[in-house]
Amino acid sequence: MIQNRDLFYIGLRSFLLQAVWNFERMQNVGFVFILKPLLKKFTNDKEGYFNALKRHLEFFNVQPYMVSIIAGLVVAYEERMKIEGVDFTKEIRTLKSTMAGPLSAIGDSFFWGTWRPFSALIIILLFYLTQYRHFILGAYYSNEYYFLILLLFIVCYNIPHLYMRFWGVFKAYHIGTKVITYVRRWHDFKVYTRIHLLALILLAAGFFVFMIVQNFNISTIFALVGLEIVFIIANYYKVSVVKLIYITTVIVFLLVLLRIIA
Amino acid sequence: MFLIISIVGALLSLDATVVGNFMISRPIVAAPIIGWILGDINTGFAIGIIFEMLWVNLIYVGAMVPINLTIFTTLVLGVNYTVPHRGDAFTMFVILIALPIVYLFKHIEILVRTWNSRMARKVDDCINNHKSACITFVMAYSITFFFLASFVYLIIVLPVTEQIAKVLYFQLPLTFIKALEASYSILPIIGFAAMFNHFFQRSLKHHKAAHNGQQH
Repeated sequence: MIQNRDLFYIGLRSFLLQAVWNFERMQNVGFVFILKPLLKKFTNDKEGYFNALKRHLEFFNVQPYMVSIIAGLVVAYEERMKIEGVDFTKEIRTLKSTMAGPLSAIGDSFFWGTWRPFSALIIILLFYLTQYRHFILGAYYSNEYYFLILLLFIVCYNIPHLYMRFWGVFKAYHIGTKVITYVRRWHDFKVYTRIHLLALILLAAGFFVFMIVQNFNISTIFALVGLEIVFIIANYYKVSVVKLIYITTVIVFLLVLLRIIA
Repeated sequence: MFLIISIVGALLSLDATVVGNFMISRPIVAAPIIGWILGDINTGFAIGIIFEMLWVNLIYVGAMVPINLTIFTTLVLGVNYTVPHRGDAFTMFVILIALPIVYLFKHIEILVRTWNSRMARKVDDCINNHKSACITFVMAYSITFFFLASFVYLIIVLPVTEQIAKVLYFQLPLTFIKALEASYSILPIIGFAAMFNHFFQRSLKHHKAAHNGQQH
């Protein structure tokens, strides 16, 4: 009944999941929008179709990339309801409410907590290397080069993103709840630790290149490393970035004033 | 020029929550694009990278509405480019005055989401009345509404911030300008610290979880 094309369209429609994000039922309208064409296929009459739409209008919230998995599972259940004539509405409701939390945790942790900052870090390092070659070695870079760096970030970040959007729907539809065993592979703490350690090394390299680009002398570098440690400690104790920016400006102002007075 | 960057800024800000989530709304992408439109992609990149590092932790999770970084980036770059031969001090000054201004948009975003609740209830009514086309209409309406809210905010706030920045900045004593210049060079260092903490705390957390065998 369901063709690959239908599943592909679910993946496409999932890009609009949060279009009507609201405080009451969060992504409910977006989720109904994703399922709408297929629900029409699965119901025999108008009444059944509108009842199905109504069922999916209840509270729903999940990390937007992980919706593909829930949508794939729901489609599989809805199809079974049509073919077998068994009522799975309770199972669908339970599935939506119980799987959203763990899937969101995996999605947040991998995509937003790890992959996005890591992709950004690669671009930051590349940018400061470009600056080093530009200011220190006198190399010239055209706008196209900068666009290439931008494109690298977008491609690097979105490969796993798009993979999850489409793979999730297909896999969840075909193998059902067993998909969780595959998703768990995305949540390997050892891999995360390695990525974060690599990120820390890259970050240190980025900081080093940044200091060279700024043409700091040895004593300033020591002072800046000290300052970096102070900021790290402040950040560790949850002092917000906005506060840090204002506090730094005031302190620098006082220092400049003191220097002038002295 | 404000008109073009308001349109681009509003379009890019849709990506943060409303459409796609390709992360083109992040400052690291939005700033070079706006910088390119304004004629200096290199400065756009430099500012975008600083913002990306500073707010590496800032994401929309659950019902949390943080400051909109795309709007903030557009505002800072838009105003920054209005002064020819501007220095780092002016950029820093614009950042300082744009931060409180962008908090206003946070409240607009909350209002838009509250309005979306009404839209969601409208969808309920439509379904009860057997009108399914209403879902697509509400989706399109909400996307347009968010775009317009961002666009109108930017088109109003950009010239206002520009005037405030220009009037105040040229009244500043030299001491303050020197301090602003020094503060701007410290911003990436705060950014590196924010990134370091992000990766360090997560690596600690995941290391502990892996060690305790808490795979779930």
